[in-house]
Amino acid sequence: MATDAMRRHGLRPWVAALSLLSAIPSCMDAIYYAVTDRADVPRLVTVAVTIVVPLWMAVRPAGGTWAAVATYCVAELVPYRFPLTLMVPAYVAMGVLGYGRTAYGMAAGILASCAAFADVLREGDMSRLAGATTMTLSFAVAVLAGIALRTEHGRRERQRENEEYQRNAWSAQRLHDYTTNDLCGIIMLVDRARSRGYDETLLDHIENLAETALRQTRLVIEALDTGGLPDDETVDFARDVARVAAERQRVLAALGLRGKIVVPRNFPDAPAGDAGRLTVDLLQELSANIAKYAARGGGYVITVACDGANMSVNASNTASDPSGAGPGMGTGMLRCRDRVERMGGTWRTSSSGSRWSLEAVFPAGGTSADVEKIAQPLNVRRA
Amino acid sequence: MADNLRGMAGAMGDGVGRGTIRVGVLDNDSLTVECMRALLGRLNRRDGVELDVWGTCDTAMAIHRCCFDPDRTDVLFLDMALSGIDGVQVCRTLREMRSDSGVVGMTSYDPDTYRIPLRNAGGQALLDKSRLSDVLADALFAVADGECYPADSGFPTVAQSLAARHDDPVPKPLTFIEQRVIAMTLGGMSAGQIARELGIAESTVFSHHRNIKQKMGKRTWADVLNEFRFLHLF
Repeated sequence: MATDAMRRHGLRPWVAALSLLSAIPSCMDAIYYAVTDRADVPRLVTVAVTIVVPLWMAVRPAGGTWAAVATYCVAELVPYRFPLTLMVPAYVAMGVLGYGRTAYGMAAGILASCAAFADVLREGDMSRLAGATTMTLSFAVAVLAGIALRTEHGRRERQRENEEYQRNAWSAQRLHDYTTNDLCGIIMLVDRARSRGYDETLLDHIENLAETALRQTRLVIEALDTGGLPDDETVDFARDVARVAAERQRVLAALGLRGKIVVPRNFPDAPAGDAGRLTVDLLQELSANIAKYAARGGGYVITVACDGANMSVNASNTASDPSGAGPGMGTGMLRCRDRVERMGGTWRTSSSGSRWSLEAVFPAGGTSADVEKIAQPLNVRRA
Repeated sequence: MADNLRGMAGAMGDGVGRGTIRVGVLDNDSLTVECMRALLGRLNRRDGVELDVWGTCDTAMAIHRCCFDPDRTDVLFLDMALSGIDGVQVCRTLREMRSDSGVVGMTSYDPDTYRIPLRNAGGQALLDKSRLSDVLADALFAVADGECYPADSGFPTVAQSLAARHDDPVPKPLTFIEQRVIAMTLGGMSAGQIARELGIAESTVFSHHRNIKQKMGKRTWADVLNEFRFLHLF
């Protein structure tokens, strides 16, 4: 229902304020007519309606909005001259209905438009057709304004919820990485100490403490890790990376290379600044390097991961020339290394036997602060 | 937990005649990798079983070793929550790449969090990190034999997990003649010149174009050429 959506977004005070504001011109208009014109029964009814309907809308928007639209329709259809300002509460009502539910807003707009055209037909004055069309357009604007407001509120609400979820997920991850892992480490170390003949009672005590702390921490993690939905930007980034990974994997397969590019389905957050672009560029450059230098039967694996703070891109492949120092680095890879280092990240390559591996870690939220430096010609070193 | 060592010794008894078991450990926490190596070290060379243990914090390297190393890794002890990547996804990747290494998940979270996802991904066991020393030997030998652990856990055996995996169709690699067509085009030769050079009809050259596009997942011939210009292969 419309009121549920409004209550959820805390809009009721705004509805009340708008309703009361809309009542001012129509009430003044109605009273002016009643005073200056003859004060007959229809005129008094008009005054009463123009006062009651906005108040109703302010207090009970669900019924009041429909009453405002109905009042406008009746005013158009009866052969009696109503003040034009009666349209103002009708506009507010249509906006509020559009905010509550698109279908309600559209229904109200169509009803009011039909009434406007019916009035033209009843009067038989086709010169007023343009006026009715303009009214229809203005109703559409009111409904669309309501819909746009709802969409914006929804977006903000989702963003707020996601930020909350991400904070919780982050806390849960931290608890896991730094607390439960350490507690498990303590338990394993106690076990090692026991095997070396240390004081059993003391070790039992330490182990019990660690186990109790571990149980409690798991409960906290369970409460925190409610698994929020990633925002649109994060979903787009994950989709982009997955697309590039699939494309690169296919090209490498066509070149006779077996392997896999492993990309997480979800990222905790979309990387900010240059980090996202760098991730994609690194995937492309790494695949080009593998195409050139990896042994055809040796296979390759590239992984992309993000723990919220850092992006990491790792690669491992069998070099085609085990006697060399592993795959060489073309200018593309050197540029990537430079970008990683400028971000304050780390770039480590290692060779063991015929296996070559790379570990590139850089801040997910970091930008290449000194873009000017990157724009300058690089001192390209050939490996 | 004093019984653990006796349990381990018992389990080692089951391992007689196994020769060498190659074990990998993947965890984002280097302390855990070291602890695991120490725990596994206690099982080494008992009752004729030798353990060859490697450990790493690098996911790409661990997958590469399990899938492409000439020396087969029999069992991989895999942390379920690696930094920014899911252990379940690593296990699924291993199965997609037809690795026949047994996978034992380890977690310091509540194990129920990962039990079903790991089972579906093709893992053989899931151990609570705080209880590792209780069950490590039993789990290791069961999984090294390709079995699941415990036997009634509902985890698939290695053979079952491989049989359950439906392979994605892998595009065929470019043939030698297709690679020559690309190289000649990049060298500035027209389709007619390539046809004359290779002694084939011009329409066959275009049919090679079509096959190459399909294998590389490219929409146009220009996309294929751009790809090879980027790769600097020919």
